[in-house]
Amino acid sequence: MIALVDANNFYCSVERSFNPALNGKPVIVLSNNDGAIVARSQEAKALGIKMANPFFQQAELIQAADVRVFSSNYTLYGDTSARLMSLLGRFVETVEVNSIDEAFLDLDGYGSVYPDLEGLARHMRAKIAQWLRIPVSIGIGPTKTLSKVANWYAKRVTASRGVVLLESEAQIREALADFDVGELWGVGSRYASKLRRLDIKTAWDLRQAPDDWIRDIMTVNGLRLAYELRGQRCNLLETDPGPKKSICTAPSFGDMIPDLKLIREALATHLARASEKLRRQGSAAGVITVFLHTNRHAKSANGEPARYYANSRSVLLPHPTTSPVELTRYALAALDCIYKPGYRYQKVGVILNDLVDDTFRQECLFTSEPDPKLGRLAQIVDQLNYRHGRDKVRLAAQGYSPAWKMKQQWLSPCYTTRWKDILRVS
Amino acid sequence: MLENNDRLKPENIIKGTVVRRYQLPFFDAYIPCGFPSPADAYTERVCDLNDLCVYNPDTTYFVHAINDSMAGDFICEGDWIVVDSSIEPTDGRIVVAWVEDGHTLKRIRFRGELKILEPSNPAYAPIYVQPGDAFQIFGVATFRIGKLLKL
Repeated sequence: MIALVDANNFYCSVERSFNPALNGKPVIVLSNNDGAIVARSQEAKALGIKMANPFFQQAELIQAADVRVFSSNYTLYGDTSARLMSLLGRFVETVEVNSIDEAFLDLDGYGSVYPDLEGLARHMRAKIAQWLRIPVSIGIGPTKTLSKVANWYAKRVTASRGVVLLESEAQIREALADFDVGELWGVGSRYASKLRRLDIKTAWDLRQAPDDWIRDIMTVNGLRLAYELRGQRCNLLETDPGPKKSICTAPSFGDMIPDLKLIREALATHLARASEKLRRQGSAAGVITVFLHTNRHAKSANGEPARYYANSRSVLLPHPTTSPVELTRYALAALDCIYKPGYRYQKVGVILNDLVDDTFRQECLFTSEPDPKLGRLAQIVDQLNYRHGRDKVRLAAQGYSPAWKMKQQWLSPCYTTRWKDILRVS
Repeated sequence: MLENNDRLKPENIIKGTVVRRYQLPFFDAYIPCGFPSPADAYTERVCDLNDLCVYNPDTTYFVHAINDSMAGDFICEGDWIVVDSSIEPTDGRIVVAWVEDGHTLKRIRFRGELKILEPSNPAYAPIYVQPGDAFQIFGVATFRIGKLLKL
């Protein structure tokens, strides 16, 4: 059997776990730059606050209902997520981290240790509530897809108290017969409307359809889905994702920026962040891509849509490197090529590609290998910044201007990663 | 007499550091064909304060004490407290708990339905938690870390 453990309204729950005064109150979390709403507590959903809508459109409703608003504190959410995943590993060996707030657990072979799977799930739920003060829902089924279905019910049916087990054929049938086909994992809105037109309304209908017919309509992926619904595993657990193949950093500016100097500073800072990630996973980048664009929806002063400009430039580096000094030199040169004056830019971003292991070395006729001193320098800068705070030691190219910084007006403290932010007790 | 009683034994003096350095032992013997350094076999990781104070990294938090309400337990204003949320908060343990107006560090007592959060400094009053009151236990305090003062 496979269990899907999913934290309820994860970002809101993390904010609450360090501030129980928020319990029972509507809470929302905003995206980067405080733009859109990315998480809502149950109370906020009940008020009719919509997901992904720009925050300012619902400002009146939010103010009237005394909704607690937070900027997204990804440092805190990331740390809590890492703790959650590690704690799940205490119960079973195989844990596939599916996203920041959900993980698949392989329960096969634990029959003698945990004869009662529902009891195990309830125990896990209670322990995580004690350890992290976060509510989770747990769905258990023979396949990943069925565990997703079980989890959907665990979240919505109050009587389940957060745990649903789909084990017998009768349980699975009952669950699938009420399950809208559009809610299935991997069925997008286009397939959903197509299936509904063909009178496949529930997951049970899809499961009962003939194989050839499903393959014609939804390709082999649809067939896999049907097999999974029938209890035959097609998606196995992937526990070792390996290092990332590319790294991208591109937060939007707080305001529209026309000035090349500020854009260069922003780019150097994004790059410092990206190269830090690079070093943490032990990779080096061979190709660097810089992109720049204005806001597609911006209006100019006379109300007409403003001219849109977007461009990108990739640079093949002479040798794979992790050094922010080298990366910044090439990135700024690429930026200078694509920058055009007279536009108000919304975003500059950097993508590090063609990642290889950091120990990779290749001598060429015209290029030398990376300077080992630069590698050591980067390591020491990482250590200093870890101890004394982000960007304490940085390249001069990163500048000191806060003009392009993200808007994070309602940021909560980083309770677990910064000494000055730790919880204060009286 | 006193002098003999109060002396640290040499084997109790351990080199310690709080820097996280998880390095593998480095076998630093250059002699290509001679007698290997006998010390290499005894190379170990330097002591890490985390090993001493953090049993469960995933459930451990640090908090900052901002008053001397637990002075009787030698917790001073400004001390750092290590808190482990995986430990069962049984009667008599010092816990971090949330009550109406914030997080507090007190000794917990269970008296039937009633919970009492007891300070260990007589200048502070105990907090009584009735059933139904807003209350949540954050974790059990396990260690205190403080700076020693020169008087």
